[in-house]
Amino acid sequence: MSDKRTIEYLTTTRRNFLLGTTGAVLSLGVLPGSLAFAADDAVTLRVAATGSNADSLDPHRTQGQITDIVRFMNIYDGLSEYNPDASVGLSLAESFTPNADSTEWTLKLKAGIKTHDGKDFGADDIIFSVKRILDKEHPTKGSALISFIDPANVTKVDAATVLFKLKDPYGPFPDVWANRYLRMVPVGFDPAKPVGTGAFKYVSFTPGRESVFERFDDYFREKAKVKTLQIVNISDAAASINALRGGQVDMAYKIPFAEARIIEADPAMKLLNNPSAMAIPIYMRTDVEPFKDVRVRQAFRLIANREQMVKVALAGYGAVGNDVQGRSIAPCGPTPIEQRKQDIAQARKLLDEAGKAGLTIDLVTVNGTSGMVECAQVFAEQAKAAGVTINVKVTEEAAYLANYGNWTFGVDFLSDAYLPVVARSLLPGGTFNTSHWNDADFNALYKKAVSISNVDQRCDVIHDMQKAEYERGGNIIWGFANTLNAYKAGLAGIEPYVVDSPFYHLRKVSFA
Amino acid sequence: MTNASRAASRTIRGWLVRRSALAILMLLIVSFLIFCATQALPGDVALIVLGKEASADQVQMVRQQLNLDQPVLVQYLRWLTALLQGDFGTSLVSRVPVTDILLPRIMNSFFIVTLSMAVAVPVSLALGVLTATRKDGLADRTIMAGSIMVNALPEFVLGLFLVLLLSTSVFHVFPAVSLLSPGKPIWTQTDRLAMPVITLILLQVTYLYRLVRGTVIDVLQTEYVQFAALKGMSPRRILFRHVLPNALVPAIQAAGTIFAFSVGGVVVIEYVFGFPGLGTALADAVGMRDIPVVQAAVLVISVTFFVVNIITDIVSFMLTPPGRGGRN
Repeated sequence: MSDKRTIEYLTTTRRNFLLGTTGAVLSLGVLPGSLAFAADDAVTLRVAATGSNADSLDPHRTQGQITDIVRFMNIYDGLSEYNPDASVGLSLAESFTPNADSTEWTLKLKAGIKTHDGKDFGADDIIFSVKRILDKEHPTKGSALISFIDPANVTKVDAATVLFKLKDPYGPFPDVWANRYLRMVPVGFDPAKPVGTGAFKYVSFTPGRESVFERFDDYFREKAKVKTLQIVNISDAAASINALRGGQVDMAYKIPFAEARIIEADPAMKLLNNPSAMAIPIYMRTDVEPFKDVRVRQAFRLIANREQMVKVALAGYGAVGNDVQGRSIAPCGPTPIEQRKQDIAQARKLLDEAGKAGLTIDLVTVNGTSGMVECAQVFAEQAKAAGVTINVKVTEEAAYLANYGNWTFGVDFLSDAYLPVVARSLLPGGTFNTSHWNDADFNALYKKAVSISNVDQRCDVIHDMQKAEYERGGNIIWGFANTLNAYKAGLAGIEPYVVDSPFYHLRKVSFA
Repeated sequence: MTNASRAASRTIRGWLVRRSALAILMLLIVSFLIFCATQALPGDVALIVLGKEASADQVQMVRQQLNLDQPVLVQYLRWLTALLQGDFGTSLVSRVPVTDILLPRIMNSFFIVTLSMAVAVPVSLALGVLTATRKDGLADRTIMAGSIMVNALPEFVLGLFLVLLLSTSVFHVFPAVSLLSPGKPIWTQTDRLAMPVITLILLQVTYLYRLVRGTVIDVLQTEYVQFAALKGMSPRRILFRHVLPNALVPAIQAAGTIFAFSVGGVVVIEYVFGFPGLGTALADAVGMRDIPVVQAAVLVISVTFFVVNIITDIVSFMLTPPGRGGRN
């Protein structure tokens, strides 16, 4: 080694040593806690998400844009909430106690819950919120989830206790309140001056642009780690990533599958790969030709090369599906059904038997979530091998919605735990029941499942329901898409969620 | 004032009145056509507001609340009557006055377009004259190649390339995204406008300078320019006294069109830089079938075209020599 190189080497190692030592000291937490907290305290967490001029601070009357959801999940609370693994924990609720047949549920609230304007949060506020969600004059996204509740039969027992009397038994009552559209607000709630119980409180809001919140210091559980939260609207995914890369935001919600590898390769950014419960079903209307015949539906399910669809449509960020809803998640775990695989010969045979050989059909899709268009295109290619011609029609959102529920063959997306997904998409009258499936045995099994409050017993019934879906359902559930987010390297407290998102729990995020 | 100048100003006044009356008629036709077009699109705002969960009853209720169940002509006349009273209406989606949504975006768009044109026009003139007088030289060929390359790129590719170059990967000079604070006026946040403004300038200059170059070359080849040269007039005097004024007219017309187009038509650039401008407001409103916002945005863009055309026509009229349709 020459002298010059030796000096360079020594300088580098000395620098590395100093840096390394400082890093080690910092990571061991040797720095005084107060100093570390002061660093967090001083900062603003900046989050980019997609929204529009229709942005709202109303957790019930919302169009459900990402900006809205991120906002209301952080300024209001639910009675219960999803844990990262999709199990349900309690939030505002201290306990839910059923009667013997689950037709009466007593909700006890936690003590010491304060609203942002310093008032006590109690039973009256819960009753107000339930009535607001179920208000028929002002339709809300959450109303369908708790349509089994008659607001007239929700009564106050004492300041922190509410009694729900139901017409029919409902076992998973505590779970339903974890849904994002069932946030609780105080009596007299005014979305123009939003007051909640959440970890952040309102400072300013400009629809379609940005909103600012600050930490609520009287939060009823561990308070937020950052002082200020700023949520900015960025519609374009590339712009969102550029803002993250350029240091203008700390977290970006919308990451297309195509960009994921770039983020993974960048040391300044981290990719958050949430194994979400989001299915992108290709639905077949079971009440009209050609899918009225179960053999045609099964043939189409056998056409799908699921691995290829996940690989191409989701760039590998997902898991293969087995024509049953609900990713293998808590609380029931994997479904004991053999994985369906591509079998073109069997598909051809079934189509022949049904008299539908050489079928030509339109498949309607929309640029909704990533993968909706791509999966249709891949499936159309795969169908050629079975002699089926599929014309993929990519529609605009409003055009897709104009005929939603009536398309014979289309692509949709759904993300939720199993029973809520079933209620909305596999039962007659469900607003997402695009396959128009109405199977008497399945309906009876659902009724039975929701009447059971014991989780293990309920899971046994759920497995039977999934078997029925697998054998006769109207959806090709080829895969489950992961939800990808990105954040600045160095942020702590971010973990992947199955049903919720780390963006819904920003109080846990800190600048490590 | 002489009789001749009085007559000229009367002519201009008459011409302005005629143009304005025509413009108002044109705006009425445009607004009606846009209204009909939004009706012809499948789906409506009630479906967008309520989403997939909506029941038929709920959709019907929202349609009634928003008067969407009334005949198209009634809806249009209702909108027009309100407009004539200065009321642009309320957004069907966000339920706030249309002006609250559009005014800040109109200001933003006008500000960056004015800023970019203030740079692009003089630069284009200088480049146009420079390359025309050095036709087929190295500078001309290099600038031409660069300009064709920039124009050949789709807008978003150019935008992303500039982001990589100036914001994220090579240099870190400007913020990649125009995250404007809604509470502050746009002119106090110019650092955040650099990227869209640079992109606009590049697009405008590369088009406009070629036009100037072409017309200057044309004028340089006219007989009167050659005659002036033969008479021994200095090249500088020929260029600035005789060539440039004649070459300016098409450039001014083009600059006007570019200005008006840039105000509402650079949706892609607005998306790439997250810039809250008029183009994205219009595109979003069409997607959501928010008819009052669509109507107002189209109206603003149409009026911009009209006003800019009037101004460029007047300027061209002033610059055109007498005997070739200019002033007497």
